[in-house]
Amino acid sequence: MGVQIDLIIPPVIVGLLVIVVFQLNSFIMETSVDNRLNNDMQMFADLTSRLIQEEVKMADQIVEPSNPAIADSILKFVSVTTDTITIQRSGNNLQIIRKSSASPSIPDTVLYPSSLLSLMFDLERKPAGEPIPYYLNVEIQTESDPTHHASMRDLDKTVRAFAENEIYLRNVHRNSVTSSP
Amino acid sequence: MSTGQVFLTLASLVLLGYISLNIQRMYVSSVETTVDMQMTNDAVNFGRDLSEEVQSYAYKYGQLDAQLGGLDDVTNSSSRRSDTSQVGEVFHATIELSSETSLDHGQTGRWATIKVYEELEDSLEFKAEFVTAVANLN
Repeated sequence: MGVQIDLIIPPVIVGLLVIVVFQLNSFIMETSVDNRLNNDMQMFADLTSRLIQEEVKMADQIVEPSNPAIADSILKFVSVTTDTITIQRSGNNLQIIRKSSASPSIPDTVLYPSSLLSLMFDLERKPAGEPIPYYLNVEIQTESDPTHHASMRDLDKTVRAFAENEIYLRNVHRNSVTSSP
Repeated sequence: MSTGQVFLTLASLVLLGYISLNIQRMYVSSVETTVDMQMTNDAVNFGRDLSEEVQSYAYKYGQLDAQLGGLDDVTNSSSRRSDTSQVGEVFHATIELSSETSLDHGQTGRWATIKVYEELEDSLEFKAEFVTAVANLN
């Protein structure tokens, strides 16, 4: 049986080209979605850090973490307006609970969707001999949702981003200065 | 196949290789941009930390020079501040303090210029700069 190579090769090449074009389109779509998610995660981590910094500007007395030597996932403080504010992670969201001293039984809770994976607070004495720690270290990790990725092969694929900040607690420091003899 | 067809096939293979190489290059470039953005964010956060620290000297103004003075040489480990990010990248920073001057709101204080560098394999890359002020609130 005679094989007509000249007739077989062109359709094979065209077929290969069509496959390559489809794969390229899929690859470009996946990487552009991954890039977007990477940027989103970095932005969420940074925004969470800024939000926390803005909130703790009003901190007058830190309640939790109660032990400066141990990091905690919950930050609780009394503000200069005597409200008690709790900042923590709730699922993937940043949760800020504000309890007014006038009506503590009706807290005002705000949830910020932030794709949080972990949120840790750690008080720091700097320099080491300071009687009261007035620096707050905040460590944030964000992680994307696997269902938001476009990949059809790796269904558990996620991307992560990080933010770390050391926030100066001005009112806490001022209180320690004015209360010391 | 004729000679012409062989040449055409070879040319198409070269073209295909060139296109796929460019696509790979584009992918590597986008990953590099993402990693670089994380490094820049970390550098900015480190600069912000130092800016906060400078401002804390409003209540211990007399210690400013002793604690933050002389941090003006990024190549010298004893004349710079260093920090390692959560992903293991090392950053160094210098803090240049101005002489006593009148600040924007009529208070007397000092300007601090913070410069942050990322440590690469055999060099330092400038990443961020902050300018902040500290007034004497004692």
